[in-house]
Amino acid sequence: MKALAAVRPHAGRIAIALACLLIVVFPLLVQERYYLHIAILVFIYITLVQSWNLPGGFAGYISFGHVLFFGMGGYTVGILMNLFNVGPTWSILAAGGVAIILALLFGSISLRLRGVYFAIATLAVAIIGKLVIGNVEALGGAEGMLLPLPPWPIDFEKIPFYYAAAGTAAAATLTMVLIRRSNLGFRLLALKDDEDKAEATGINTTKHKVIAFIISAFFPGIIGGLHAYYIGYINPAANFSILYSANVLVMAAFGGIGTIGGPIIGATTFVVLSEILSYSVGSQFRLGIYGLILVLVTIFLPRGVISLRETLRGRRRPLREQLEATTLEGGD
Amino acid sequence: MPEPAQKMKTEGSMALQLDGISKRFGGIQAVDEVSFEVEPNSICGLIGPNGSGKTTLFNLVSGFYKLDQGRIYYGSERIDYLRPHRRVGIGIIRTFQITRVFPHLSVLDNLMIPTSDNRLLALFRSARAARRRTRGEELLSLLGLQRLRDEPAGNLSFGQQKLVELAMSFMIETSLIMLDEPSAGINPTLINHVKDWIRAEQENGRTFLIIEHNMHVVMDVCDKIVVLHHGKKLADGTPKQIQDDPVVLEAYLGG
Repeated sequence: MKALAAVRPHAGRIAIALACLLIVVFPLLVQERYYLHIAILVFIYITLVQSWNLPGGFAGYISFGHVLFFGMGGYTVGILMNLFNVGPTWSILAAGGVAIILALLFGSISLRLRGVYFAIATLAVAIIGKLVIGNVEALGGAEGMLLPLPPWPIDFEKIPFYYAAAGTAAAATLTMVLIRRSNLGFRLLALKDDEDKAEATGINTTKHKVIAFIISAFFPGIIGGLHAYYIGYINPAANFSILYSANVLVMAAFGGIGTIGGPIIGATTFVVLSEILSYSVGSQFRLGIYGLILVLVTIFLPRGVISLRETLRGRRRPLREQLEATTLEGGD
Repeated sequence: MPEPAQKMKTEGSMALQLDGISKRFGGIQAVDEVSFEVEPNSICGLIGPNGSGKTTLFNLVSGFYKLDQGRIYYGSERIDYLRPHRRVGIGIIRTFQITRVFPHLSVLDNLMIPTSDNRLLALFRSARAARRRTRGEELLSLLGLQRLRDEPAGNLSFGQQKLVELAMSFMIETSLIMLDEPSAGINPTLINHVKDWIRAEQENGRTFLIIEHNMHVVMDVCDKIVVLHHGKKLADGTPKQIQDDPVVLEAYLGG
């Protein structure tokens, strides 16, 4: 008991360390490549949800358009590798650069809109991006294009992708942890609460939103490029599929919007669940179950699964809190 | 004593000069060619019946509305085309009539928000820098709010939120503070504290422009009072002059 009590304050850190260790040795533990594939998907989605969460969860600017950065990342890699013979690493980094430029151009215009109007603008741009790319003959039109195979032996096929995706997901997560503690993170939370008040306290709200949007585009660009190289084939319908945007939203809402742990929980749960459901109950029921889970979580845990512990704890002590609240009111 | 960098600006207050400013909303002339000056390091009261244009005038000075006509100067700089945050950057901050704090941030974190530094590098610095925390904690204990430090500001009573909002204006180097009804919803004992505090901050070199309905407060703290009526300036002068002005009495004080 005593030992447990001593460990308890560090429980969070120990859990994180163990999780990191597990991620590092996971490829050595599993024989089936299928599991690596699932893990890669998990990392891709963690990256996307963490990124989406910066404008979406911190600042309250819900984007349906993050698939644009993902898709453009994929096409940047396709174009550079196929047409210009650039190596995969540089191509993937360039994908992040392209996403930044797009976010700067699109963000500085669309972030003037608030609430649902911003969401609509992002959706529109994602669809336009898909249509434009799909109509360029040089990029294979609707058929898309094949990418060069990785140079390493087929037996290792997935392992480099696994580590690259894990690294990207970790970098995205760490970035969000740092931003959360920074002025940028605080000010985004403030402008989510009251944008005019934020402006009235001296915050250049436009600048903060645009910078948040740029950061949140970078990682999807990178992971989109990595994904394209991993799958080896890109086409507008798949790489710009609005399902990515929808999944990201669902995962964020499930795990907990505006938190660091929420995107991890949401992405992991939904990717794994979707695989399990696909071969147990079949794809046709899968989406229904998805929906049901989301409805239940929204009703009972509106702040996501991550708030489970708080919610349980909160139920146990409403009386005391009420009493405290009245005393404070009286002392005013 | 706090370290020097943290010491709030004691000089740099400048004259705020309104030069024939007007604002119209549809058929209503909310502010109609109003001109007056707020002398540096003074406390200026802005009074007038409801709908006389006081809050609109605040929104014009703080940059939330664009002027239809006229000019606003702060010192020698013309500020009426600057965005609201830029005006904070040069030292003008305001509070709101309907109190606005950031409800989901803790009380102390609310105090960490005001800023005059929007440079890229500043965005990535820690939000809870020790210096600002100390300053924030000082202000909270001055207001008797230190117990509520970690409480989400939205849970506080209206009066307490009013104080938090007031404290936010003192967190950065602001030289002109515009308060929209600072005494509304605050109990009488605390009103005296707020008055003392405003006077003390005046001695620190700050300038105030205050909208206030509580005549005791206005007559007590203000060096100068401007009376608005139907968007026009009706009179300005010392509290004594205003109290004795028959036009003001008729339009406002009961007439």
